[in-house]
Amino acid sequence: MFLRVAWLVMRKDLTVEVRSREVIYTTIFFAVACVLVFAFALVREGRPLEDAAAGIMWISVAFAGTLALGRTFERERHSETLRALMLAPASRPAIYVGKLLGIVLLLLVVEAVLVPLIGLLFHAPIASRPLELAGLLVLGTIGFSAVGTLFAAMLVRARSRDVMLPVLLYPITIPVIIAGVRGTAALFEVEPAVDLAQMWMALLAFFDIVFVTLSLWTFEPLMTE
Amino acid sequence: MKSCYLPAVLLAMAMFAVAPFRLMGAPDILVANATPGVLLSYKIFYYHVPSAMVMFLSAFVCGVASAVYLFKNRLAADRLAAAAAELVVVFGLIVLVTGPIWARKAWGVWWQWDARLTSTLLLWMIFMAYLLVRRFGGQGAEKLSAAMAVFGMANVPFVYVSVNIWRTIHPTTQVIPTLAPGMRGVFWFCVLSFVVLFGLLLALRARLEQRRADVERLYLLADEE
Amino acid sequence: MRRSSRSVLMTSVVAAWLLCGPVAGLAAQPATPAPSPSAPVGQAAQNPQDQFVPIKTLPQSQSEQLPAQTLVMGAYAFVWAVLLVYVWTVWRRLLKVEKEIRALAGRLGEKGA
Repeated sequence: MFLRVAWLVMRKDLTVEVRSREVIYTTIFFAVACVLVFAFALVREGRPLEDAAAGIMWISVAFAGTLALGRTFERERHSETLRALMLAPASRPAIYVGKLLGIVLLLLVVEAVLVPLIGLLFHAPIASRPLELAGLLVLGTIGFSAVGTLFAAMLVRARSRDVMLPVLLYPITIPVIIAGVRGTAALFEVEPAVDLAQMWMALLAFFDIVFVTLSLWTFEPLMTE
Repeated sequence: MKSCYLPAVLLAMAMFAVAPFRLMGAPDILVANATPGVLLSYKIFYYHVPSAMVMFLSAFVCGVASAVYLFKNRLAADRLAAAAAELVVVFGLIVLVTGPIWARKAWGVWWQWDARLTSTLLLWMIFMAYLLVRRFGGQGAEKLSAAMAVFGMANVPFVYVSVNIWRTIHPTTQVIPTLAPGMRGVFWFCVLSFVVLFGLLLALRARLEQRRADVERLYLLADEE
Repeated sequence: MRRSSRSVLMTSVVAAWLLCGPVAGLAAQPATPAPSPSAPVGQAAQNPQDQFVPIKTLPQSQSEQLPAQTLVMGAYAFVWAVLLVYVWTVWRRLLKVEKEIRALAGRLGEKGA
């Protein structure tokens, strides 16, 4: 029942997104623009700093993710569907998981576009350890989205929600970003430091467990008004 | 103010009057080839570390009170959480300023982006975000900030062990259990003084929240008539 | 109402007392402590106080520019300044709220009468 509800919520979000493609296009464009801005800002002698690839990638994912979260829940607020979801006879944690999976999939699609771009612009060896890189990206995205979904859902009815989301989200998710950047940087080195990257992946997994557990725990009382 | 606070106030006054004299009498830290400047500057330890301990204590109080507010809807718990969050910011400010002042002498630099300093700064920012949300969040801001506090409380153990897991320039948690005998007495005396001060400040600040709630209640009564 | 103002007053008296104590203490202390004897240094090598990295690698002139006494006193003064400012802001807010309560209670009392 729990999984079915989560699946249904996720399918609803994906269906709406596939039909309008509003959030995915704008988010990808914003992420690419972010990468370009940072690449130009960190240029020396006509070439961007090579070590900056990992940091730029994760910063762009964080900024694009914040926008995507805001837009997705704005859509819910506009159509008043969030209230309908809350009224449904479904467990709140299941609704949360459904929303979380939708956001994670959206961000993974954005990352699928970003990573080749980063490889192209910064000559980053994205194909050297693809499994570990994918693992880092998935774990980091889950951690970021877990907290983001919780706060974005809560902020739907709040004043100044656009600025509040980054204010609330970043101090909590910066450790996830740090772990992601350090792990990716370890993989992008000339000799990929795989065990270092695996250590950061383990830390990311730990963050994911903590954040998802806390979010599941607090989602219900937060959404009851 | 209830008369039961009077002994605590007198105790705090007495302890703090005695503290500087005990501080002067504390043994000089035995570091090979240290300049006299380093030997003297370590005395910042006696209020840097107790402030950090009180900061963690305050974060726990805030987190637990917020959880009680979220799940049991007790407004008194929310008021206590708001008071504790402000104290996290105050004592965190003390830690984050006295630390670098000491570091300038002991390490030669004001700041280092190591695990302990970064995670403490993030903890401080989480509770700053708590205060911002409470102030500017509008309706339902109390529950939002309560969620922030729960995440902030979960962050505290991470800050504490970060210095043991990563090799940082900051001293590890082994220092306190293995203090030299002359230092131990002074140190725990300072800790007790700060904890008593924290209790008094918390009570005072919680009283302000209580009075604010009284104002709201009176406004409602006045509107009814 | 007067009880809470008294509580604020007491806490600020506490804070003021605290400020006097350390200033007097720090003013009275000797200029610099004597260097430690060689025997305990061996002990220090095993215990975690070694975590404090000495700045022996820096040139001597740099360490003289920021005298430790100023830094320690500055840090102490900062702590008390922060605490005093905080107590003062709480006091200010409490007085404002108390004034509001008095005004409201007066209005309610009039309506009731």
